[in-house]
Amino acid sequence: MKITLVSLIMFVISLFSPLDCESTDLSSAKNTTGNDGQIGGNIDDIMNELDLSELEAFIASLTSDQQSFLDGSAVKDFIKNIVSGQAIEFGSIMNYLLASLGANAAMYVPLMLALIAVAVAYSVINSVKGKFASDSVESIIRFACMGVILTLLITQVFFIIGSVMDMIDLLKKQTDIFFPLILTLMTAIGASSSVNVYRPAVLIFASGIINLITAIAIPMFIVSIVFTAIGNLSSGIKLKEMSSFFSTVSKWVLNTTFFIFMAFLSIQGITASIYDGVTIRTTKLALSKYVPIIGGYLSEGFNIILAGSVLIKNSLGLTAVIILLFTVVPYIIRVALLSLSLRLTAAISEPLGCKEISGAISDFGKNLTMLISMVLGVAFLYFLFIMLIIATGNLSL
Amino acid sequence: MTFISGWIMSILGIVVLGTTVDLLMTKSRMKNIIRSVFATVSVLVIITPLPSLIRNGVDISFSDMLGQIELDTNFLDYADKMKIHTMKAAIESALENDGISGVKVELTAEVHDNEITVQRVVIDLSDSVIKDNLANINKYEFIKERVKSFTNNQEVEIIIHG
Repeated sequence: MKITLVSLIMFVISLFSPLDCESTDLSSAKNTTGNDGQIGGNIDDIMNELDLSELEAFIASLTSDQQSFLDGSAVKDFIKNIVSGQAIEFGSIMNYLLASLGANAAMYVPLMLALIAVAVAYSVINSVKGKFASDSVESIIRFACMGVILTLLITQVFFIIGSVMDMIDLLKKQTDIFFPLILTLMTAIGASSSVNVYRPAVLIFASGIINLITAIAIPMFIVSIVFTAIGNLSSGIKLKEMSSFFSTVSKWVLNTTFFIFMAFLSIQGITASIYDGVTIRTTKLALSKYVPIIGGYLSEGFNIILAGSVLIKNSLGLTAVIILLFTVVPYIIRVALLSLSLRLTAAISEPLGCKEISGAISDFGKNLTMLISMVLGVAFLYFLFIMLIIATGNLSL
Repeated sequence: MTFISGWIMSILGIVVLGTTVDLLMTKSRMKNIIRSVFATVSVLVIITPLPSLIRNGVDISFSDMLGQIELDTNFLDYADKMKIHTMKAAIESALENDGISGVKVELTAEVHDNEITVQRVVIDLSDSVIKDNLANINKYEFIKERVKSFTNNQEVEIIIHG
């Protein structure tokens, strides 16, 4: 998993470098042709013609905190600002993420205190009972304490599963809104081979992978977590290995699917983009060389239309990434923080001498890593998808 | 999901019942026997879904997969119009370069990717001004030849009036 993650990060970094080159190429193209004004006018026209009503409605449905990246401006103005090269305030993004981190950390403090309180109570009862209480009484106390601990943990875990479902729903909505817009712009610039590759890929992502998570991975996680709880509740029936089995199956299913999808997307996407790039360049060359006189004008005019569409496509992609940061990352932080809080609670309760309680809390924390890899994987896949599309269309210029 | 919750609840029920009985009983051989019985029953409950799972397989319906991504056709029409407009403007500029200014060109064309297939060109010369050096040539034939070469010698219907 770690190797896959590292290779993914390397892949994304490698994606960014051609992106920079392309944007530089684009700006230099703008300067050399001296058509800045025309491109600017063209961008306004394209923005007015592009139907952004669904995106506007989606952004209106977000909370005021999630909308803070707009800084009070309309979506169209925000996209135009990105096109014109106005820097996005990364400070505000970091502030938002840190605020989200703080709010979520504070949310788990009562849970941690409650778990530690039960662990302390169990430890105190065990130390004061001495030899007066029988083994049965000790078992009943243990059963009661574990019951309280597991109820608290399961309530919190099911709450977080609800949050993850919300996050996946939000991601699906974003996919349904952004990809048709970006693919429309790609079709307009003539990158039809790339569109033919990305269109089914979007469907596989929006339906296949998201369904796989909601229909297989999350139920398996629930089964795994319930087995962990049952296994910890009873000393007679051990279900730890059963829990581990479901956890492993779920990880394998997710990792294999993500890997196959990413491999397919990268290879097909890059091949198609190169094909599109060559086709468009050939068209422009044919226009300028083989159609006498008019070719020069036509090729220039085409450049302006293509440049405008590509700039808006890239800005839309960047907007999608920013919205991803503002809407999805807080959920990832929430899940990761719960896992960390549980591990910390397990670490705190261990010295109190209640091995079973700290073991149960630690098992829940470990199980949550599966949910973290699920949300991280799907968000990363979406991010990678957007980045690939941003990098793809540029090769056409 | 309903099936999974039912399955989990039955396992939970057996385990809780087994643990309660285990807590209530005193240390004896019978306690060990009952513990073994509950363990066997729990295993049986855990593997209950396996036979039906093997018989029927897993059915995950991806009904949404049949859906299509709707592209913005209005915008695509606009982009095609822009490309045709670019070609129209290019023809007008080229004719002006040749010495015939003020020509109005109307194009009927289809755009596939970035390839423009021109079907008809209507040229309005009513407001046009022709340079002196072109005064002695057949302007209709000249314009037709030029437009044909502009459209890469495609089969184009060229109508000139005015």
